[in-house]
Amino acid sequence: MDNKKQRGFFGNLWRHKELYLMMLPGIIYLLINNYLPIGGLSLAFKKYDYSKGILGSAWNGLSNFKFLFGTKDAAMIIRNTLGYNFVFIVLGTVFAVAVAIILNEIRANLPKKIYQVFILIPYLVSMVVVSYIAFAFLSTDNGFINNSILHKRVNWYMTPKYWPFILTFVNLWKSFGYNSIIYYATVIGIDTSLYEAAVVDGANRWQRILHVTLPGLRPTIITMTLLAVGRVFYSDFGLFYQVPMNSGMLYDVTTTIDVYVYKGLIILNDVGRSAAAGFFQSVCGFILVLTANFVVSKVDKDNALF
Amino acid sequence: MRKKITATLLCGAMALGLLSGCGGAKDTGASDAGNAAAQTQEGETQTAAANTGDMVTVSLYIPTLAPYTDEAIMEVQDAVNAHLAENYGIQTKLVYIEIGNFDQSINLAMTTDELDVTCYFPENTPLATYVNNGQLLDITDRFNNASDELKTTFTEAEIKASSVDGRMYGLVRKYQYGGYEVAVMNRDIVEELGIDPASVTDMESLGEALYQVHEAHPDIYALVPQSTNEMSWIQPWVKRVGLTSFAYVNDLDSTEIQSVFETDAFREFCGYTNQWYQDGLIMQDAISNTQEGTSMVTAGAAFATLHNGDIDPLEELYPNTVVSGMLIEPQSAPSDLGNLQYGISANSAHPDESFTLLSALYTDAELHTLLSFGIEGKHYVINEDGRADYPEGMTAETEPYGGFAATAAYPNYLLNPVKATAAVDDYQAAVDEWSTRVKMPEVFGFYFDTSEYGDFVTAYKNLEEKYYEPLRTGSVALDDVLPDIKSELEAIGFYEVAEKMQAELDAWLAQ
Amino acid sequence: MVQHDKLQQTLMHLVMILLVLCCVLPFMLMVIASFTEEATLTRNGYSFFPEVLSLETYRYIVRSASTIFRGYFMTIFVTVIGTGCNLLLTILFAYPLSRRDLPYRGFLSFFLFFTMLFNGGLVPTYMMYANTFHIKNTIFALIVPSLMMNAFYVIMMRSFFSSSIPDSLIEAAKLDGASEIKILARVILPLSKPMVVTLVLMVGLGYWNDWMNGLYYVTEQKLYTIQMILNNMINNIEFLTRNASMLGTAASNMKIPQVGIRMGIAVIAVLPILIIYPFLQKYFVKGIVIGGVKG
Repeated sequence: MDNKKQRGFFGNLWRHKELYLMMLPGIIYLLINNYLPIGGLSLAFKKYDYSKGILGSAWNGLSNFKFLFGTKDAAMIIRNTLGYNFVFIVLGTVFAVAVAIILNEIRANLPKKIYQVFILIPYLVSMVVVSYIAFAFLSTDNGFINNSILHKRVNWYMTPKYWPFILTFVNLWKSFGYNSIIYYATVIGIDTSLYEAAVVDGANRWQRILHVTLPGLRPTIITMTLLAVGRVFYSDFGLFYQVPMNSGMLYDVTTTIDVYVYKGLIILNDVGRSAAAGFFQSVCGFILVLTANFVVSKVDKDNALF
Repeated sequence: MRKKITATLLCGAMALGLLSGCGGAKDTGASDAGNAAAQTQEGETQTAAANTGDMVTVSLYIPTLAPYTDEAIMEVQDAVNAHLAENYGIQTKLVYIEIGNFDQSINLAMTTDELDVTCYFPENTPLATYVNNGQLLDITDRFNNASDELKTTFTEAEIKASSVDGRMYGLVRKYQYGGYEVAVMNRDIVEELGIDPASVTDMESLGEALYQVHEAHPDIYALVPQSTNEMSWIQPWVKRVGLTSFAYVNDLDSTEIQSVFETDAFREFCGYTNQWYQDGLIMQDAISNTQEGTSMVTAGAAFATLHNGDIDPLEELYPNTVVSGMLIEPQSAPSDLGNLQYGISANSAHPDESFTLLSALYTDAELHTLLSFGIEGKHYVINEDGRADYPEGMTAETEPYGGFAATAAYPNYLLNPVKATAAVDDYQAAVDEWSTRVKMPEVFGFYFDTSEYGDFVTAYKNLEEKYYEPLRTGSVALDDVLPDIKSELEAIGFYEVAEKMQAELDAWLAQ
Repeated sequence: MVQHDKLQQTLMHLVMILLVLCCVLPFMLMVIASFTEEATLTRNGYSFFPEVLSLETYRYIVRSASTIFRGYFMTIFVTVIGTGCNLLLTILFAYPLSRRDLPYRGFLSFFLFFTMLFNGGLVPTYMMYANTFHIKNTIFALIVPSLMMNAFYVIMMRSFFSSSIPDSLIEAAKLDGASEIKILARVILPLSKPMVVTLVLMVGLGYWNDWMNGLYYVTEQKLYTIQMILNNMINNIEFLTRNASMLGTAASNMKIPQVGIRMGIAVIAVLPILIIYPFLQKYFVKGIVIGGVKG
């Protein structure tokens, strides 16, 4: 029985040897780059001692996780991480879908192409550059907003109440172009006969959007959201650390898990804790994706990720 | 078995590299990828003769405080190696790392045996943390068996500053301790308004000058932070205690441990800055500023900035400025001691050779000068007064080996020839003279072991970062936030730690 | 009805023009700031119409040209080679995965997907690359770690292959006796141009904007990329903010580059992307159109 199975296995390999050989470089790369270091996850449960190495360090149970959950800041950090991600996912999707539909409805070809080129520009630059630009706008003395629009001195970098909006705006600004193009690409992939049928039925533009375009977008929206849900415990370090200029007064609204871990790491060099944070983020992401995917597959089997 | 797998994977990876046309990279990469012996490449062995081949190579990590070129580093490394081969029978590999990346880089490098001797900043990451993490080698026995020359280099307080629990883990940088505080002011405005720099001797008189300037030139900043969002680099108005980041005493004579926010000196300072901030004297952007105070003062965009000074004169550094009278007389904070140290990685494969190098760095003047100033005649020259200067036609910007401008990063400043710009004739004498002038706080030399308080140190750091600079720049009024601060201090357990520390300090003082 | 439609069109154009301005104006401000005289910048603030223009920033950049152009060269080299390697790995992995007749396809898919969620963390990865493979201060350090293959792109490529290449084409080629590699090269790839260009753009962008690998594995300046130069500048500023006190007056030698210069370097780091990108734009959209992002 075992023998037979083994023969089957090698037989299968041999029969498709060309295809497997093609995959070999990729498999090797993933093994090296992604799987070989994965033993490092054990650091989450160890007190890492540099002189003893990963294997030699002593186990310390869950005490690395205390750093994340045992402090008075824990609730604030988790609230920020999840809250921002939730807002980003919802607003980001709505906004990007709206832009994609507008792009699709515009008839003139040349302007349409030009719009596509320009809205993607923010996506192409790094957060460091974005933080420079943000400062050029928000600086109290020199900023464009205070100097040329409001004509008064608003102290942006010291007033926490503005930052949930600023961060959301920056995130939307940077990502909407890319997401819109993805949705737009899906929209123009929708079978045109569906639109023709709708026109024949006497549907106006809104009805067409509602009954043809949006349903056509559904699979893409689900996929994109599923992928985003897997990362709700992560945050863009540059957005939350560099864009607010690491200003102390804003910590209550800008500290996310990644920022907190980074700050702890530069003071304490504690590898175990950052491993614990990474482990927590991965496991939560994994569970969330599986759950979300399960729910999706119950409701709509075709659109599940796997 | 595992090795075999790794080797197979490696071959695969290399074959892949070749396959995919990484041909251009072969010359730098291929030799490194497989062969550990190839690590002694890069010209280390070029000058020293064949016998250097079997000498141990010890790496030395130094932060860059000024620009260095790869070529200059190589030249100096060759010269240093020739000297080391002749006198100590070892070789070194100089690794310069951008200062902003330094902490992270050495932490990573300390996980492997690539790092032997390194500079580190205990003010950034407490020494106890390095020790607790098993990052630094215990050098107590090696130090006790070392030459008298090395042992007499350090005072008892200095040895203590590099020890945890009575064991030594590094050697402190030799430098003068402490400094004075002045205001650096724009010369044009001072002359235009007839301000007498010497009359500015405290915050009150500085304020008078600032109001005068603000009235005459409302469009420029009267006062800007010294650098980015830091009102002043050193903290001359309060004293930090025992190489910790969280405990302060109010003044030189005080022995009562407090949180910085509750000291009278801090309250007084913030009282001034907050008033000035509200009256528009201080840059409104202070908290998100990304520029240097002095460059704004020199450019005429600001009138004054606070600045620290020590044995080097300030006017030399900044054109178009005048320096005020001393706001704070020369004095030292306990944390000035040992805030930059050199030590050996616990993972070093060659601890003995590493210690040889470390000890030579503190005692061998020729080696230290070579390492910090570079090659004589090329990176610096000795002029007719016998002082070190830039070679003809070179400046801090164009000189390829930055060590000359950045001597503070090296272990023993005092071994070097005196620079042409120095106000003194002999560093050792100047430091001795400085030591008689500088006022030492009562608690100088007291050390508190923070190794058990890792979480507290992090929590405190977050708290301080949140309030400290906004208060010092005057952007926020102390009274508005003090109740919050107190309850947060309470929540992270500050007062218990302070109490424990106070008990230890009292015992130490009684001795 | 026609009137109504025209109004709607105009409205939509207006919205798009507003969005485009929103995307472009910030960059204009940055470019103009880099051309503004430093003193004007600190005195009058950021403005689209500065009083005094100056080329000082770009003079400074030309003065330190050796560093910056070397950084440029490294960035381009790394981006080209890295993107090439990534594409090769991605295509070679995605094609067999798209074949419905491949045994153990599910396992291999999971093997791939798993890497999107879990990783060993920085320290183990660093130890492996630095200790076992000795890639520190080699060109491999900038190309190999983390960037050479990305599960998300493989999934995109796979769904492109399985959705837009008819099985019958592959069957026909097989009957002709073509080997798998030949099928891929002669039949499939020519049909996949938009997708390939899309990937080139996305992967290339990843390499172009990367500074992490440099931060971890590179200390020699000859390997600095333009993004590293920019990032080092930021890190040095941050370090000085945190710790300048310990360095005494010596830290006064550490000059923080002026705002204009920082803006200037940011501009030249972004410029090539802005120039190249519009030419690839049409493929980019087409690639996603045909492939779809659905996994």
